[in-house]
Amino acid sequence: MNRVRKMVMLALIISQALVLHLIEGFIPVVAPGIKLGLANIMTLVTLVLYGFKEALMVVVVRSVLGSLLSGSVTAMLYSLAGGILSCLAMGWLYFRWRAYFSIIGISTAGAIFHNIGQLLVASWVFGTIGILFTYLPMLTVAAAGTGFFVGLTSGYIIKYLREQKWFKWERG
Amino acid sequence: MKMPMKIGDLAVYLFAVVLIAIGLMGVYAMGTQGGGKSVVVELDGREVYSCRIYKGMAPVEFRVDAGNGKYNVVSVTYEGVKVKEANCPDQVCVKSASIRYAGQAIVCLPHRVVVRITAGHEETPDVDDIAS
Repeated sequence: MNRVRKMVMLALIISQALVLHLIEGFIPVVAPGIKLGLANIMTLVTLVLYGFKEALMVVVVRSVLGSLLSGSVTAMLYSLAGGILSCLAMGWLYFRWRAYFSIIGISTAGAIFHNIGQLLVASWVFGTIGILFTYLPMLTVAAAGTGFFVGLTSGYIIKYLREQKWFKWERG
Repeated sequence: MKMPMKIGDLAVYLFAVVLIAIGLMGVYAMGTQGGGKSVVVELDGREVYSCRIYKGMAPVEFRVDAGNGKYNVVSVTYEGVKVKEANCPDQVCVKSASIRYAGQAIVCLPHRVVVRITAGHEETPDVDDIAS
């Protein structure tokens, strides 16, 4: 795939991630901090179809732009910390231990580490580690559920894209 | 399409269970280390009111006078702390959900009032100077 095609595809992926990020903001949450993690779908797709560097780029650009459009500077901090940690975890699992993990497992791990990243920032901002402990159990249960469905969705998207004739890629 | 679960996925869910256990143990450890929680009200960065929160406490309600007739009425119960009433223009503090965990805070920017819950009775750390 030539550079321009790749750039256009990444731009499309980022804009889709951005839209998912914003739509997510409209969905009411049952408890503070619990989100569906829809934007993670696009991160996972990029990770599998393009590679780690590209996925990290998608996460960073999506977090920064998404926070500028919907939230505050603090929201950007949370979003970046969660996204980057989650991307690192998923990249590590996918490129080192692919044989042992399905896409669902990788997605769930990403969701869990997204929460850990956000909670670490929250603990730092509020100056107490207590937040981490109080929210960790609830958020981890939520992550196990949302991570499963995000993984399922990503799997279908990746399968679909790989079957398309117009979608020629240089990486497996 | 087949997306079979693999052995590593089990490890991920096991990791989740471990994390939940760590969280619950952490909460338990903090709950038993004594000290408990207090609610602290700051006006313009100065502490103007503080009160301990403990099980079985009688509900407390007090009025924070922010000068020039500006006021916030804060209600404190064991179940949560909230701003019950205020005459600030945006009413963000009144609409905020009640808080109950250490580290949470309700901020009224127009009146420069911060209601926060702290762990124990030590002085609040120097971070989040939101109101000043």
